[in-house]
Amino acid sequence: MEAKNPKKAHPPRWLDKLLECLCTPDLLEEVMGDLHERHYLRTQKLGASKARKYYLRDVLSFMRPYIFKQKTNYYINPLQFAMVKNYFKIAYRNLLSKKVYSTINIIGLSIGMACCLLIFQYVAFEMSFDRFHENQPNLYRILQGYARGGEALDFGGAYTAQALAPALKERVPEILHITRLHSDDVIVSNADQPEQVFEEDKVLYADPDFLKMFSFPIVAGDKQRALEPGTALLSKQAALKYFGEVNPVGQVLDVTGRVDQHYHVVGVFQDVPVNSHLQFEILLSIDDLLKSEDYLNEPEGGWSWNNFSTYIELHPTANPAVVEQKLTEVYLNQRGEVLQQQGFRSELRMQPLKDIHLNAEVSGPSNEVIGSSRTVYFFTIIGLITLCIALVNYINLSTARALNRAKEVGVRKVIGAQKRQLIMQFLCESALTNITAAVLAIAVAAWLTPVVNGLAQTHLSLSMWVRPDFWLALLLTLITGTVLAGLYPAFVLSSFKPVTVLKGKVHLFSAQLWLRRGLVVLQFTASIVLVVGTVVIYNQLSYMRGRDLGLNLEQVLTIEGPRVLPEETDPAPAMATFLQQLRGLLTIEQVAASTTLPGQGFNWNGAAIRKATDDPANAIRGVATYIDTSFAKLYGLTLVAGNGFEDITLSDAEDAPWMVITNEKTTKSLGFATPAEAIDQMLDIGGHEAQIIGVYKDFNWSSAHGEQQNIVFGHTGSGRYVSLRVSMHDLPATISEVQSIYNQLFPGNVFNYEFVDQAFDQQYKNDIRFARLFSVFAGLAIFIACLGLFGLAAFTAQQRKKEIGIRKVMGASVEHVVTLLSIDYLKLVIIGFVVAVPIAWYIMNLWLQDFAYRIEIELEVFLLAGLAAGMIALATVSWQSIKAAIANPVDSLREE
Amino acid sequence: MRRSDIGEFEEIVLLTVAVLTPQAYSVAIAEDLEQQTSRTITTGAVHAVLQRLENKGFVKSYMGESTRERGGRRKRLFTVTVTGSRMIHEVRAVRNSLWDRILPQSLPQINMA
Repeated sequence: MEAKNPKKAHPPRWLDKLLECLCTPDLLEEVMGDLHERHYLRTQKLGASKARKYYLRDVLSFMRPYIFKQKTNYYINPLQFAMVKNYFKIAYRNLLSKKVYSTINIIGLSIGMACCLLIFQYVAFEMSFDRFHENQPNLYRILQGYARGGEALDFGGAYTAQALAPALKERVPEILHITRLHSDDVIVSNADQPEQVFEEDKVLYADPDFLKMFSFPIVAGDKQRALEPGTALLSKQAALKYFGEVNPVGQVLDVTGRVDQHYHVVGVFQDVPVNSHLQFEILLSIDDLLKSEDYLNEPEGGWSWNNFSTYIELHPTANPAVVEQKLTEVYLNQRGEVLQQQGFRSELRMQPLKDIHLNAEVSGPSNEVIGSSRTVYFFTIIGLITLCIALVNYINLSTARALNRAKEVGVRKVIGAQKRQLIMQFLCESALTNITAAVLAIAVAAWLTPVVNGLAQTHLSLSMWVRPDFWLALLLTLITGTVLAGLYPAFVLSSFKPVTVLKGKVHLFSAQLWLRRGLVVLQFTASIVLVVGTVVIYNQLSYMRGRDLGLNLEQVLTIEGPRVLPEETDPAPAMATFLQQLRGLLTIEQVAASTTLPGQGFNWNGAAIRKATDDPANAIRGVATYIDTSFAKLYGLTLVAGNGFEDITLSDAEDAPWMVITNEKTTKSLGFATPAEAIDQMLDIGGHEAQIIGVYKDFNWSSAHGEQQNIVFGHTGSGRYVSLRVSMHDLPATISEVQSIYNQLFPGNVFNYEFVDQAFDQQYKNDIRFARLFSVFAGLAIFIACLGLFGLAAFTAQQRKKEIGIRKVMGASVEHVVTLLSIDYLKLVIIGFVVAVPIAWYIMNLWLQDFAYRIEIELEVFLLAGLAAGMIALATVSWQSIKAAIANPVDSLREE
Repeated sequence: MRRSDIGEFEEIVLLTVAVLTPQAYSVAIAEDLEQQTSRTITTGAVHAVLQRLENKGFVKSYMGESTRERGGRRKRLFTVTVTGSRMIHEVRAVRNSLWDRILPQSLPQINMA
């Protein structure tokens, strides 16, 4: 008997499907049969709707363990390994038979990967700083922040006073060890060879705890006596420099600096690794430094000069947040009142050791290697972008060539290949390409490492290759690369229907075409952003370096004054004699002395300046340095009001006020309406009474990174630095003449000279490095993008061979055909350009925020970059287009 | 648990197999039991018990013919093995001896229809 409604008679199909999924195949037939028969019987007896309810119950009643599919595969396929072998064989043959595409893919990918590897090395190096200390998690540097009134605390410096460390050690029990550090440059010689003197700028004064806190292992000598007063430790390299083959332990070293002393060498330490932010060759006791008269007579019991950095090691169980509060409490206990009087607030903070290197915002008094976390991020992103551009090439070329593979896919499917197997096959091909590229990439990266080191003054070394995390990263890149590049083409290729494919009808879906175009647009967007970036960076760089400083730095030679003077020589007259003798030289046009030089900071940073009549709370912060009477003329400083030091007679009287000259900015900051109004006004500069005698037009003493500062010049008769304006005629002779005078007057000193403009330019060292690295990567990125475009163009030209043949037969000109073939890609580049403009504009403006003096990004920059990208793309494409266009139509039409 | 143990439901299914042989398969058994006990017996429960009985060696099975109601699928037919036969005979002997030992007054009177 037939049920009335056949649809209702049938049990719910979804339940059957479910059962099919779950039930093991050898039981499925009887189970399904049972269910259906029972359902039929129930429909007869109870009616369709009730039967359906019972059906569900019945199906559920079968949900028992024995019915489910087992995890273990019943049919272990012995062919699987053979198939994978076959996939690789086919992949290998395909690589060989399509040489152009394979080369494009592999070269692109290997360059992309090499970029990534190099950048990985760079990032890993920058991140490795100071991680080698065993106690590193418990080590901190103390930062002291200042603010005035409602300002936010400025933690820009790691400078603390000498008295801080003893006070903290006494009152904060969580501190296990504490050390003060101070680095200096001094004159050093082996006591046995006093005539051989060296200038040593990597000298570190430290407390004895230093060696307990940091892992700088002593390799020879007596650990017990290390950092005792009067002893010195040398690095292996320094030991070699001063004592040669002689055992340095027990030898005597003469050091001339703030304190002149003999030091007994008691030990040798392993050379400081390059990835330590502290760099030093000689380690001396800080007690010896504090014995100097300056520090013995330091006012306020050692709390007034913030000349030291302080490092602490916390007890492993201590809570850093609690300790941080205690530090501030201890400090304010000592200094709270004084600070309040000066209108300052202050707080201490702890900076974990591992954060020091990449935190360029904080500067410290020690010789430091400072990196920039922003640079690290920038390059990580650029590396990834480069790799992505290369992966996109692979995706584009493989999907484009899918048509050629369609028949193969069809045949494989007909023979019985499943979709999963085909996906596997194409992933294997992608893997093969990626692995080949990776091997090449390692070679390329190894070859490029010294090149990049030279360009960017980095310390990348091949030692990275032995690190396990490097190989892990490479493996990860390889797997993501394989999957990212292989998955989409694999799906496209494996989804061909064998019937249509074997009939010869294959159409690329428009979705794929759009995707490919989208990816090309993306590539060019990224490339154009990088090109714009390069142009902006170089523009900014040349703007900074070529900027009118208001100072004339050309042809200025600078010499550092003597450190060591013969006994009982008064330094000031000795310098005066030196200056006098230099003025006598014909080739020297001008001579001036000062205590610092342009581009090399000031003597007094953070001086509180106010009108003498003003409230201390209204003081502004400024900087001070000392110059002699010829300085302004030599450097071309121009007065806008008042007099220079050369125009007045300076009083020697004890009670005479301190005469100062400021820049315009200072008078504005102090609230004078015009510079002229400031003349003869009395100031209070850090507690000293001062009188403004002149105002210089604003000039730029430091790099374009910083804002214009409030600058005050005091007068000095001599000063440590001598500036000479020399004629460029026969410069070597002039220099040797100066040197002979120097050596004659100051025996036992090292004659060093520099050109001030070059030294000034040194401030842009990091920027130049950044620009060079950036342009290298931008160039590589656009190169890879063009490789891909070249491949696509070649492919299109190949595809449209017949069409072009017919067009030519019908009378199309070569130009017409070239335009036809090129215009599509050019459109994509133009779209990429349009997308890139706002992105590049945004990112580069972000970058420019770092500079106080910066360029505006002009439209020309974009046009230039766009035009360049367009030209490169056009050149790439037209090579193929022209080749296709000038081909003889007979060749393309004769076949078939 | 000894392999020869047999539960109450298993025993009933085993007996039903014996009753319905040579047309003993899960649907027929379930339908028959439903009629006999006037309880709902799910196919899955019967199927599972048959599976268990076969594992214990009390029944053996072979694939039978297909029918239209089953959507052309074959059914699995069951017959009682010698072990199975011995088992139900043992069970029956135990029961019979128990019945025989019940004194006439021990059970409350009921009226069997």
